[in-house]
Amino acid sequence: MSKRWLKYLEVARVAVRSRVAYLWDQLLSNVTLVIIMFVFVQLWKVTYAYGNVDAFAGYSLPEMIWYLVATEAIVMSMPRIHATLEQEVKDGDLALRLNKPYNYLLFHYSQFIGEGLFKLATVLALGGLTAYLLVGGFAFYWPALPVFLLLWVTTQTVNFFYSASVGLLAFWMEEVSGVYLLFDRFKWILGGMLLPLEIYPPAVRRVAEVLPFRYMIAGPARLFVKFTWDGVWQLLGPQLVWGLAFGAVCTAIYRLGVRRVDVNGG
Amino acid sequence: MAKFFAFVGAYLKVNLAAALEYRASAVSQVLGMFINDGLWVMFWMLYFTKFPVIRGWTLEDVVVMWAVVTVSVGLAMGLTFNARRIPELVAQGQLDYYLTLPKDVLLHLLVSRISIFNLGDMLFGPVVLVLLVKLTWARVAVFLVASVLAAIIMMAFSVLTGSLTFYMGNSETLSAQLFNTVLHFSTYPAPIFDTGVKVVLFTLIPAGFISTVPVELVREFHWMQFLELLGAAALFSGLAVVVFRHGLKRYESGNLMMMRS
Repeated sequence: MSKRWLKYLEVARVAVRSRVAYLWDQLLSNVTLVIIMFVFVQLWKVTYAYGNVDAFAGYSLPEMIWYLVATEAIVMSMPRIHATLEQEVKDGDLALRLNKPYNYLLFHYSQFIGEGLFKLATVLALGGLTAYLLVGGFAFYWPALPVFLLLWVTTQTVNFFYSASVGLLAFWMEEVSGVYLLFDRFKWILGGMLLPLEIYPPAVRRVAEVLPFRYMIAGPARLFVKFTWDGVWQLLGPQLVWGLAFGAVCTAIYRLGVRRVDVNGG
Repeated sequence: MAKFFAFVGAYLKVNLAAALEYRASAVSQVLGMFINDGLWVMFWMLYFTKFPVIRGWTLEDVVVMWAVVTVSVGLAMGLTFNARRIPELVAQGQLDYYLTLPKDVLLHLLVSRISIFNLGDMLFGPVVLVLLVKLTWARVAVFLVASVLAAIIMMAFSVLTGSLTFYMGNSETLSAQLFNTVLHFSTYPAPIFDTGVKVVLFTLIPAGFISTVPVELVREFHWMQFLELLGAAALFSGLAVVVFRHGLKRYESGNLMMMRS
């Protein structure tokens, strides 16, 4: 690998190491995840008992809970890149980075992936342990473990460009958190964050199927509990297309925005 | 009492004017929270399409629950956002400002910051209620009173957990986790939990008083249950004031020179 790319790998490595230093803080801040999982398990236990069935839309109770572990792992392992970029634009820190020998967006992407990997490990550990203790395990396809790591990277690449595009709107807006919440929650609703898309009514499912959000949450989460090799290819293709599309939008927003930056000496 | 309302009203007016200075971002925050809350109601609508009743609770009950919780979060956090910032303010020695002024420290602290995001919650509750629930004037009245009492409990809980900082050093993460816990439990029907959890939800983590009791009151009013809610609001707010004032005696000034914004 050339030096040009090695430096980004180094940025990711440093991001992981700096997060490891705050391991306990990270674990404590994931207590909410334990609460979320506990409440969801109670809800679905009652639901399965009420329906008196073993599976809904093809998901057994443990599979439903592990699907939620996977969606939470994807969402909670995402560093708040929109907030970081917004802050850098507002504080002017962005100007300090412009003369550094790296691409601004790639630098943040590397940090995003590095920090995200660490978060993923803690979320999976805590969420997985909670799910295992409450509903037991499921038939996870262990040989595909490296594939899941790859899928996590591709999924978060699409998520990075999606969120970073919103964060960079700070070039024009005083506050982007409201807009981000809008974009993020649309992604949650139509990306199958809380329920597998198979449970949605047909009309909503049809809308979800033409949008990119299912490749950003539901697709990889479904593969996590119901792995097939065909499913991997069916996910990677659209992720590549949407990743390139969001990447192009994000780069365009950045290039337009950075023209507005005035750098003064001092 | 008139002085109290004049003081709170003056702060609210100034804070709102400051927030509306950036109108586009204020609107986007309110709209963002609307969509956020809407997501959860949509989740329940999808859920109840498949399972119409869950241990006696229907979609209408869950919608009332969301309306109560969002209005009470809107009131508690939208209008007194500093209730959530107590650990940060104490740890950074920022209480000095309030200590030098003649108003009650806790009251002054609470009303001096609003959260536009949470004002979105406050607007969401009535909208979803009108759109999805069969209403009578009596039900509306019960809803409003119960939401205010739930807001008082939520604010008091936040002050109580925030006051831990006086005793533990910085309890920012712990306070945030406890607040998130009460909020999370408040947004699910209590009947899904077993007895042990329910006991916790009506004592240590008062989520039951914030959502379940108001929902049951709106469904069918009982004086006894209403008095329980009133008692819980009085107990938690009294406890919050006592613990905050006791903790304040342990506060050490930050000797910080800073601009307040």
